Amino acid sequence: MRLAPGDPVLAMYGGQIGVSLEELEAARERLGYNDPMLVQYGRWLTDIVRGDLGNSVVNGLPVEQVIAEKIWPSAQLAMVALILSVFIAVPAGVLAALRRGSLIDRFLTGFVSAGIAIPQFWLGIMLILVLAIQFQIFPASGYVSPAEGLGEWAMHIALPSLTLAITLAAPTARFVRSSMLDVLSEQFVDVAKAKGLSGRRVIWVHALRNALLPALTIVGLQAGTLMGGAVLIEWVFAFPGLGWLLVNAVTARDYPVLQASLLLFVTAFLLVNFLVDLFYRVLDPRLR
Amino acid sequence: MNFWKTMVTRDRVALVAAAILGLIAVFALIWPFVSPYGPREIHADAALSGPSARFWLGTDDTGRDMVTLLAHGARISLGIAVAAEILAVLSGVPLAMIAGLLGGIVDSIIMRTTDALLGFPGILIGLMVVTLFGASLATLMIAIALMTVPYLIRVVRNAVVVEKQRLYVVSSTALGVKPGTLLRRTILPNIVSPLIVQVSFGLAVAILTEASLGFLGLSVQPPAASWGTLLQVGYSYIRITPWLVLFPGILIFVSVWALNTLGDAGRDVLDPRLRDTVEQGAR
Repeated sequence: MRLAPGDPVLAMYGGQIGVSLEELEAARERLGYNDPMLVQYGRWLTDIVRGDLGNSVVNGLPVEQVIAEKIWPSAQLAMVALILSVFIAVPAGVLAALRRGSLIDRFLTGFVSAGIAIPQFWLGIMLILVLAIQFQIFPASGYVSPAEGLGEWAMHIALPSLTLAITLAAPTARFVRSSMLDVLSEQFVDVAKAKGLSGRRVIWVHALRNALLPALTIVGLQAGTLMGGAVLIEWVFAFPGLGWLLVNAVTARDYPVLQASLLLFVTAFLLVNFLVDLFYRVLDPRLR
Repeated sequence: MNFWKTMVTRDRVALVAAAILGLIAVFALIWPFVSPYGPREIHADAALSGPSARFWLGTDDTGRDMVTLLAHGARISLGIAVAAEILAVLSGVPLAMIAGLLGGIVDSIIMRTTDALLGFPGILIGLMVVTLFGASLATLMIAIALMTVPYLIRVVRNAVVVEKQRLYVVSSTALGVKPGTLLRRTILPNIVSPLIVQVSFGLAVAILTEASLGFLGLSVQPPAASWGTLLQVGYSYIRITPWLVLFPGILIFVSVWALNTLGDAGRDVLDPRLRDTVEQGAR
């Protein structure tokens, strides 16, 4: 990271009038930016093992503190988006499968290919344009913690999570549809019907449960989409989460924060994939 | 060529997608010569003006004609995407073919590395590479190539594994054809179709990534403008001139949709059983 052009010390003192070159040099020396690259990297590694991630170059606060206060909003955004996307994708996928070839089915196909092709952050901008600027229903940016008021919290998280949910729901809906079609052609569905169970119960209980199992695969694939998407979406909505922090650290050349948040993203990504793998094995004993 | 003919005649949506891509390409190639304005021509009297007879789609914050900027932006955005994809093909295909042909430990090393990159959020790879080496055209292409290459390697490697058990390959080996020649002359021509399909998806991802990085100010620097950087400018004036953010976004959206649709159609021709599965393409 330290190879990157741009000078963190300059960024730190940027805008201050009357800073002498000697003072800048002294700051570089004090913070160790004059040491060889390898020494700096070694120091960073040993500090991490000791649990010290350094201080933010921008405001001097410990990196742990800077990051910790951003994790919770990001986690909320991800959870709300994921739940919303399931609530959009599952009914849409099931309906399309039941009425195969109908108008609903064709509408879903269109929604899916549009949802995959649309740049997430542009969709966010369009939602701001319509729902926050044209019709001022939702605030265009910011975040309010649930402790300060649930209503305000919901209003602020609505647009960013809806943006993420729409793009997440597109591939999930297609997956639910095809997996539902597979299940509906299986014998146990006919058996359930023959037993005299109502059509609705057969579809929503018996068939759906079996169809959702393979559809879970998509959740693992979406961990990457969710994290990558969150970076830009948080930036667009000025939502103070990890993605916003990351982009901010890039522009401010705040290396300690940048390194630590990238490390966190990579760890989180690996962890989610590991958990999903584990989850499959629990759900489907054949995989063991 | 039979592949393309089947694809476009069988799938009307694919035909529309191909037509749209053609239109955008013609616009990018021809418009800069036809336009009455240059890409750096500033009209201070008309900065941030709306669509009018003089400027069909309005002007940006420095008073440059939006239609002209979009055409030049198309050259940059599509140019970066194509260059990155060429880089991905040149680096990925040989690796994938070697992995597929040799198998064993070489295959394991190449494929495990690929798996690690696969599904990793692309924007993070982009941010890392661009922060590490600065925002230049070269690093941008490397970052984008790095994102699309895992998918390419997987598709090509699997195709090679299937092909190498076919009779024509086995008999070529028996005739004493050297491995290098075998890969280039015998196997490569037979895996071109899946390769082209994957390149179509890859181009879509490349356009999206360039747009994202451009939006964050990490693509080409002003006065050069790509679709992504035009979005960045448009977004900062969203309350005054909402149309500025509209047009570049539509172009990105439509080109990515067209490339994905062509990829899907191509894959349907190659293997109709895949018709309802989720593509590995975008994001």
